[in-house]
Amino acid sequence: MTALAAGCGPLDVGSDLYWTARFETGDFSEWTGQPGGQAEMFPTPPNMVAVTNGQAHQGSYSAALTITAGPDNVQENALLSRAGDLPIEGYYSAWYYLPHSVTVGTFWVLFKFRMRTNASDPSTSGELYDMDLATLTSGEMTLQLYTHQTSTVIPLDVSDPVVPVDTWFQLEAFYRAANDATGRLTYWLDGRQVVDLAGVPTSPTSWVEWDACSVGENLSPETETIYVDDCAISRSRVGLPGRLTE
Amino acid sequence: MVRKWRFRGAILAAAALGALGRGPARAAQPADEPPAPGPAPAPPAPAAAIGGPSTCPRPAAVFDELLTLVPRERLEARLRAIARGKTPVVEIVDLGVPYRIIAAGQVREYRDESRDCAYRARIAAVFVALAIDPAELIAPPAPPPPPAPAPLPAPAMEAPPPVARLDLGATVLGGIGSGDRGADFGAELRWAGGRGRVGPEAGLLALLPVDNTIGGVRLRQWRLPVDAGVRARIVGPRFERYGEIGLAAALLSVRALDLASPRSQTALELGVHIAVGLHATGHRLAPFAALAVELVPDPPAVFALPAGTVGHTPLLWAGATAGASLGFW
Repeated sequence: MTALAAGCGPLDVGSDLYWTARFETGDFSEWTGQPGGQAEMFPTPPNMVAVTNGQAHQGSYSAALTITAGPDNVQENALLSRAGDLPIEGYYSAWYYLPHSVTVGTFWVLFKFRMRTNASDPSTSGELYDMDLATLTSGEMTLQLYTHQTSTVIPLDVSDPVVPVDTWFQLEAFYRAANDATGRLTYWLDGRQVVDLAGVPTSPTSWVEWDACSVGENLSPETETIYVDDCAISRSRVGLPGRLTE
Repeated sequence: MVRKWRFRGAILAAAALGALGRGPARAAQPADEPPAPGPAPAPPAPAAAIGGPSTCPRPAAVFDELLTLVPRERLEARLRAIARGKTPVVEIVDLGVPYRIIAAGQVREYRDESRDCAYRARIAAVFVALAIDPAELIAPPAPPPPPAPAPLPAPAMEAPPPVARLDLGATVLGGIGSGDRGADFGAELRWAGGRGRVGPEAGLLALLPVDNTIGGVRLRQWRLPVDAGVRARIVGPRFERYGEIGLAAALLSVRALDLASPRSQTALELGVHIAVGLHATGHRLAPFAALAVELVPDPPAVFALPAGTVGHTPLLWAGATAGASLGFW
């Protein structure tokens, strides 16, 4: 594509963004219009996903993911997902707005990678890495990385980073799907690296699913809405100043 | 027969000396008449043979240069033969930038803005030699008797400056600004017109594409700069030094190399072109070398998602060119 920059206008040389979702269309078409893209909640009721103009990181709209996860040890799910045609390696970024602190009883997943043991067989899909919200003894919210490979929490490089409430924060990950030492998973919270798993097998195949979600169990208060905006999958780091549109 | 010719030559020489030393009445005496008795006349002193009010070049300096062109005996003989009792035979007049030489009834005026007196003396000597004794310079072994003076050829050493020059050379150019970049290589074609101290000029550079990185974004960049302005000259005997200033414009094409969705973009850069250079004079084809800078006060920004504006194209370009300069008269 060739264009002539008029006068002193910038030279727009392209984009490293593979895909974005800004919700400014007022619907989930940016997700559901892609192969392997979904906006879903289960069970229903009471869980819900909706596009709202009540909160927005940029623009006018964001996604509101609402779950009611009472003390019944039942997992509640509201999620936006992309799967199947994702790159073997890339940066995954989403902005979140948490209105207030929540006491997490069992778990509350915000950011998830899934895998397949056979890339072409949907029945082999499985869980992989969850970036969770957890509650500190101070009542503040923090991050917790859970791996389904060993069903354990992976200690972060930064101890108990505080996740802000009542303001937008960014979670970004670099993920390289590999079943050998070339695999890598790195997370940043508001631009600050909190964990880096380098040189580790991450997935048995190159098939990747990424979810921006609210998947929880035993939350207090039990009905919680978390807002998600400006999601992106990029070839290069998005970072805090990253722009998703010209 | 040989002895007879020698005798006749001696008579001719004596007659010429007599003409110079004793005045026109003796010079008009037929050459084959017996010479008048008495001592041979002294040759005219250089100051008397070459005169005039010029201080640049001085007449004595012209005479010294003449001696490098014509053997002393032959020169003195020619001066005596032409003088016919009148001195000076040659007159040098310094008129500032121009200077005039009058020799054997021929007048020539040259220009030398640098006022290089030694150079002027050489030019004047060549003209005088051609005027008084063209055979010595054009056909050294010319046998006697000397032929009638041939039409004076135009001196080859002094030609007016060309009305235009066309410079073609190889150029290397480097950008100074944000980002890491290599040097641009290409060719430069430049035209300069006029014979005066200041004249118009225009140039065009054809550069090869070059890869560079701005703000982490790898780009393949290609530029086509053109400029137009004025050239000021200082012309010397062997070199012409010049300086240029003008407006510059460059068509700039960039293409991202590594982005997920690359785009090619083209922009117009506007700036100022400044250069200094040097080329040899006196030949139709002469080597030249030049240094140039191009200042682009408002270089285009480079934008890529998700980083946004990652930097700007160079604010300053600096380069060097060397090649051949062709003069047009």
